[in-house]
Amino acid sequence: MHISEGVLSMPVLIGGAVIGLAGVAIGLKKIESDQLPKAGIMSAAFFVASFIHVPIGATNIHLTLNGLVGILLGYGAFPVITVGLLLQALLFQFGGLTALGVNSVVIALPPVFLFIILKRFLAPNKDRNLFIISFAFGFLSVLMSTLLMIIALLLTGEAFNTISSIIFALNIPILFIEGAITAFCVTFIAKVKPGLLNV
Amino acid sequence: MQKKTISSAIILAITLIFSASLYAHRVNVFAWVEGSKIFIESNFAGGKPVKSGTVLIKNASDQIVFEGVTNENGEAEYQFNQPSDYLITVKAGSGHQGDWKINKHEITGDSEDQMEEVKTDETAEITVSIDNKNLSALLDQKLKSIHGQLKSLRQEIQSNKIRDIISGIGFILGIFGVIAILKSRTKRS
Repeated sequence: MHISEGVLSMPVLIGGAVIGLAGVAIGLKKIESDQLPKAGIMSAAFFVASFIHVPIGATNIHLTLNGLVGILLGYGAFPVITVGLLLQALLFQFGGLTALGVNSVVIALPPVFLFIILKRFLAPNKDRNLFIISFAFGFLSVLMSTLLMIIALLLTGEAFNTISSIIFALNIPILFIEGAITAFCVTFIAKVKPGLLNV
Repeated sequence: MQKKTISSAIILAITLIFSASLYAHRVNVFAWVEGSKIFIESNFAGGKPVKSGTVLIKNASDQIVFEGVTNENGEAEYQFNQPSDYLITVKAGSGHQGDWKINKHEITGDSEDQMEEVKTDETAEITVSIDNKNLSALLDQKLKSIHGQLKSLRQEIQSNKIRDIISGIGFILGIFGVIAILKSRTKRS
């Protein structure tokens, strides 16, 4: 999901930068000051998550954790993820710097979008099934991020055999792993420190 | 509140000054064998040569076989009498030094090469066939030490990954700290 330097066309890069900038600005405005320590730690966790490799069959894939960031921070997920991506690009050349805008949109937009839609299900309520909601958050965030990435590549004009490339990029096992990790993290936090959840 | 800010700013400035000087005084030493001489080059991290640095060379029995000084370009050379493991140390003053190990086989590989060259001078016709046969073997021997050095260089580059992760986390926490400061300012005003 970290698109490298020199892959995307100029219009896509600019569009991504504009949307990304807007997302970061809105996110920064909406974060409350007492949420900032949590935001910093989540950004660091997101930064490190890419180095956790999960061997699946012949390949290695890495965790994204954008679903977890979305549940815990809501709109704040955008600046948090962008800062993490910025440092990954600077220190490890993980994703190009010009592609930072696009990469932020690809990874941060789905959790923010899901947060807006699913927020009411996160509210403290006897009927809420936190495990299933957070599993869905993790699963769908990575799924939508992959789709956004494919859209960005298609818009650049990459000759894609669309169906097979979607199947290839959509690493199904990692979706379940991300969902499970998000679910376990959120249910644990809800038990131990429910105030940490953004609702 | 003002006292705390001033004293922490002073501590920060002192730390930065010290860290800059530590970096400048890391001494890199590079040495290689050509014929019967060891060539030595040394510089500070950042590229500046170690001028008039003390050069100490110890052999495998830990005896000092050479004491010299680097020139303006940080270079020195030593003509050795016998093949052995050599430890080359360059001291740049203030307790900063670097060293480099030369393995015995780097030297013995070369001396065999020298004997081959002497032989080929004698008969012109045989020269070509000897060169062709032994060329790759000689190259392999010379390149062996370079391969070893490349390997350890690559490993060093890889190990920096942990350093980068730690610094990335530091940067991230710092950025959010700055955001927190800015936010509290706008709140107050």
